[in-house]
Amino acid sequence: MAIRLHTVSHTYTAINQPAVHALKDVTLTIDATDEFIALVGETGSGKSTLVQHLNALMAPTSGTAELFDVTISAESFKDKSIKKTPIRKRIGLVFQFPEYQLFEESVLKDVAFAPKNFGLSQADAEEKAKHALSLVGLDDTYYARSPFHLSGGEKKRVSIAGILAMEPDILVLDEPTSGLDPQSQKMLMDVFESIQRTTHISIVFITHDMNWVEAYAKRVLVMQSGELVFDGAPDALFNHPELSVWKMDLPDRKKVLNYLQSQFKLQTPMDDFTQLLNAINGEGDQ
Amino acid sequence: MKNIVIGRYIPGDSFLYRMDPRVKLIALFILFVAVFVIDELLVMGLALLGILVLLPLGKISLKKVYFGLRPLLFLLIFTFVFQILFNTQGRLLGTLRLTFDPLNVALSVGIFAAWLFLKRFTSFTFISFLVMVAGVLTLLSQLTLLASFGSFTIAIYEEGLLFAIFILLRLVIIVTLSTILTITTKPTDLNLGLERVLKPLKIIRVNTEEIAMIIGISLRYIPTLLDEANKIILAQASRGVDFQEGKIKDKVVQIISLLVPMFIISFQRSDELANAMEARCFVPGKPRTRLNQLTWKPLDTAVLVVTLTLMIVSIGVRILW
Ligand SMILES: Nc1ncnc2c1ncn2[C@@H]1O[C@H](COP(=O)(O)OP(=O)(O)OP(=O)(O)O)[C@@H](O)[C@H]1O
Ligand SMILES: [Mg+2]
Repeated sequence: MAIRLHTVSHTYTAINQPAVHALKDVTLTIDATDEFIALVGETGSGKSTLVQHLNALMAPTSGTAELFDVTISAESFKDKSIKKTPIRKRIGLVFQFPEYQLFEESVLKDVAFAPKNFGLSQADAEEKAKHALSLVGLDDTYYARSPFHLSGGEKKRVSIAGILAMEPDILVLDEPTSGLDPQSQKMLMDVFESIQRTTHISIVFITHDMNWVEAYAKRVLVMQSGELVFDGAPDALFNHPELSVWKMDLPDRKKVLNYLQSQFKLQTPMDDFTQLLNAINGEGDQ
Repeated sequence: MKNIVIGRYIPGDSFLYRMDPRVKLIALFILFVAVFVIDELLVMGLALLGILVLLPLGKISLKKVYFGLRPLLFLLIFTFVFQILFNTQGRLLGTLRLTFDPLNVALSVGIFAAWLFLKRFTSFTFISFLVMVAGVLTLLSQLTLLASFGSFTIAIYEEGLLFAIFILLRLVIIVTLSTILTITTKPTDLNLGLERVLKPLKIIRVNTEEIAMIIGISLRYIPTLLDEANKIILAQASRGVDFQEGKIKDKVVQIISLLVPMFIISFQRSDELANAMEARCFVPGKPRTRLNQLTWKPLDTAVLVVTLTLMIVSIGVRILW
């Protein structure tokens, strides 16, 4: 197991504000290879807080996070002899908002920043950066441009490339597709899938769009007000009775299937269109 | 980072919270004048005592005030030490002769290094710093085994010591009073109070509303910017920036990687804010009505009378003493 969270709770405290219990007793394991996990949940349910525990950016208020054999707890987090930077190299986290990290004068330099921090030479880092940029669909005309003069979607791609260039063992993405046009969303999801397929690293992504969950995820985690309420296969989630309690939606394909099924008054639930068509045709024959 | 108090309002309830913001500002000004008029250590000590009584009455814990003082701690210490070292008036209280020889200098450096190393394991950085300094001073003054290659005499004079304490008290009082104001007053109330208090300046064509608005917005955005800074630090940490470690060269890059997004985000924020204000038809300088009207209560009159009395007393003491 690469990541093992054991009863992790996180409470945000500030002296002038009521405490916010953003995570409550989350227990969860993630393999180092071949996982493709979607993390869903309504706004403010603690998703971003959870993923920041996955690469030792935050310490649990109580409970422990085992990240590649390093155990992070409230106490050990303060111990500076436990180095967190190597964990962050192995578990790459792309933040929800790219504005928080872009700072270099050119796109290429910004993407090369992380690999350089992890000890690569300038030339090697730029090599990795160029590869990462081509993966996210930014060609060499972007290299010299200032990251601040890009559109929101382009910034997002640069920030994703910035983490891809580190070649992490596990890739964690906080809403990688937000703020992008539908085609770019699909393109990026395809990139992640192909990275996953070719390198067998594990990928965790946060999304609000159930279509991506259905199309890409092998496993899905559902958060609701700080609790992990579901951990299983996407299909099991879509058939779960509490789906609407968790403020979750069905993917479009499922909605169409359900609609047709109710229109044709079919009794047995259908999983795909062929099955449905067969059922309808069969009915017509009789 | 999240415990920095400057400019933070902390909800609560006490007479300090219930006072009219105009009165708070005027009272603060009057007390500032009083504190600057005082020139006797004894009276300054009494003033500090007064503050220590005021805090529990106003239900403000010492801890909150300490968080307000903490960013200025090293400034306070610096002024204190500076006064002691360079003010040579009055009776000589004592001298400390520091003699440097290879052994004790090496040991001092060792102690300093040990402190640098150990401070990460303790939460009493400041106290351990004082202990470290005391240790080094004792060592340098007492232990001279090898041939010395230089010496330095610290002489402490009565006047210097007293004045150092005096300045320290004055600074602590001023910062504490200001912290009390920001802790107990909502930024919007503070803003409104400021606007009203500055109103007389309108006669000399100063745009008081805008000044009040600028100050109000700045105060309002300090905590927001601190939160942003925190997020940036985390985002850069994900990319291998270790803000706690690093050589000088790395430090420069670390700071740039924090400051650049910080500036960009602030400009963005101010742009958005300006748009949001315009979308709500905000026109600078136009007369406006307020949702919350300020009301003058007997408490306010009482506070003004008390602070004015304090000021007059301190002026009287200064003239007559
Ligand atoms: N720095 C912070 N200080 C205090 N409370 C916070 C902080 N960050 C998040 N929270 C609170 O913790 C809870 C979980 O926040 P989190 O950002 O993890 O939600 P999320 O699931 O990522 O939401 P979204 O879908 O909007 O990104 C929210 O109630 C939020 O208000
Ligand atoms: Mg989030």
